[in-house]
Amino acid sequence: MEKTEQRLITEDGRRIDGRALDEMRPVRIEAGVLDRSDGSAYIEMGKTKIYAAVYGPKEAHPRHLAQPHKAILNCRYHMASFSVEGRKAPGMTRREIELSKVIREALESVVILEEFPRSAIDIFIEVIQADAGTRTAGLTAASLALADAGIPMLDLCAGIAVGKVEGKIVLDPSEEEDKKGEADMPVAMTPRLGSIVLLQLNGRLTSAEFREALNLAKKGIEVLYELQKKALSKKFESATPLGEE
Amino acid sequence: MSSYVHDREVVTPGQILSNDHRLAGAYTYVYGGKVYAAVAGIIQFRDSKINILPAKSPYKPSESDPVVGIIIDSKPSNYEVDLGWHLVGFLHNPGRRSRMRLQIGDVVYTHVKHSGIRGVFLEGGRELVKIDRGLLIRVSPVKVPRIIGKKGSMLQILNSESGCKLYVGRNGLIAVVGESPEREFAVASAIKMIESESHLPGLTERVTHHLRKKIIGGEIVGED
Repeated sequence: MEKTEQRLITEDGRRIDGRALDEMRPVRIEAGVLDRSDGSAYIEMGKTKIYAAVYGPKEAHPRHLAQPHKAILNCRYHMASFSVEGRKAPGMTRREIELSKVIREALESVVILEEFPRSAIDIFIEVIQADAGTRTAGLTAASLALADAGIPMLDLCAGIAVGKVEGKIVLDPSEEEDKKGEADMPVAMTPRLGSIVLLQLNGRLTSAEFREALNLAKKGIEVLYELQKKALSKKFESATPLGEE
Repeated sequence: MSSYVHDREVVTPGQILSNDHRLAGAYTYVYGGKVYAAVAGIIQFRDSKINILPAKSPYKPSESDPVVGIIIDSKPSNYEVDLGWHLVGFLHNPGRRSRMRLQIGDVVYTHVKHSGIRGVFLEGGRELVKIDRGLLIRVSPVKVPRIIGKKGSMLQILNSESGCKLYVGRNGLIAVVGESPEREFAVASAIKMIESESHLPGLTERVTHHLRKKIIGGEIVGED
């Protein structure tokens, strides 16, 4: 590396895009954005832009995968070919298959699958523009899309990444910090139940750093959770009937 | 009442509703003796329980629900009936002695006999109605109570204003059988109106007005 390399964190504790160490990128969350799906959501975290759509519950195919006592979740995390610099091949890469799996497992722990025996719920997460933190943002959008579809769940879940950049723990790293940093740790939780549904770690952290990172992630997740709730109630206040029979 | 919410409050999944597990009503769940919301919707206190009225929700069959379905398969002892959404119901095939022969594609109106781990079983016999003409409309299952109205009042209006017979399924499928297509389409547009405007006050008057406007003269007065 040359000496002229740009520092990722300045002397006064600002990051490359001017954020403080514990500051998230600007977030926008919307529910019910796609008309033809049963439930959908859109999330924007800085330059990361993701749509999530939920279809079902519907008949499980192939039939032998159906469970007699509960529904199965099918999850597809996919990055659009134009979502990254240069072109990404449109097929499912090894990485996308792995992320589909971890997101599916995270969601399986919150959705009350026993409500819909013998059926399947399809979740599609489409990354339109990628700038780090797509798995956690995708999970955040997917859980909102499930709630928008009216599928019973224990709690909404939200996720955010924490990173270690130049020895400092930072919240919600951007693409550049992710690439040049020492560690990256996506975390997703169900805030009300307080359980961790997704945790991965790329790089090394000491146990003290890990604890600091986890606490920082919790702070970020709380913020996202409030935004999720706001997006949901906004959608529902205008659409729910004043029930009577 | 030991609850954290008030009537008509908007709640989101996971929100705590009460400390008393006996208050758990529709679309709620109990965890550690406390009641939480399972879906996003509006709180409704009824029958001394906390219920949630979701804006959208898949249909969950329960016993004696009226349903409308389409025959999708005919087997030696059973018909398979598509109830829309994710559900397939089973209807006993009484064989040659049957008073009606059902074919794939036929629309039937009946009740749920039993719904459980082995599937959804539909009432055959006298309660079974084969619908051989008319319109089939699909609405969101949570809006069905609004289409029926208080003690069937809305249904009565739709019926008396148009002269059409309505078969309203809890699963969100509705069959409209009338003497002319114009009348059937008028009811269909009224139902779509109920579905989209169910949260606004004065619905009954608007539906009556809408139906009269469409039916007078027996012609369709433009889609709006």
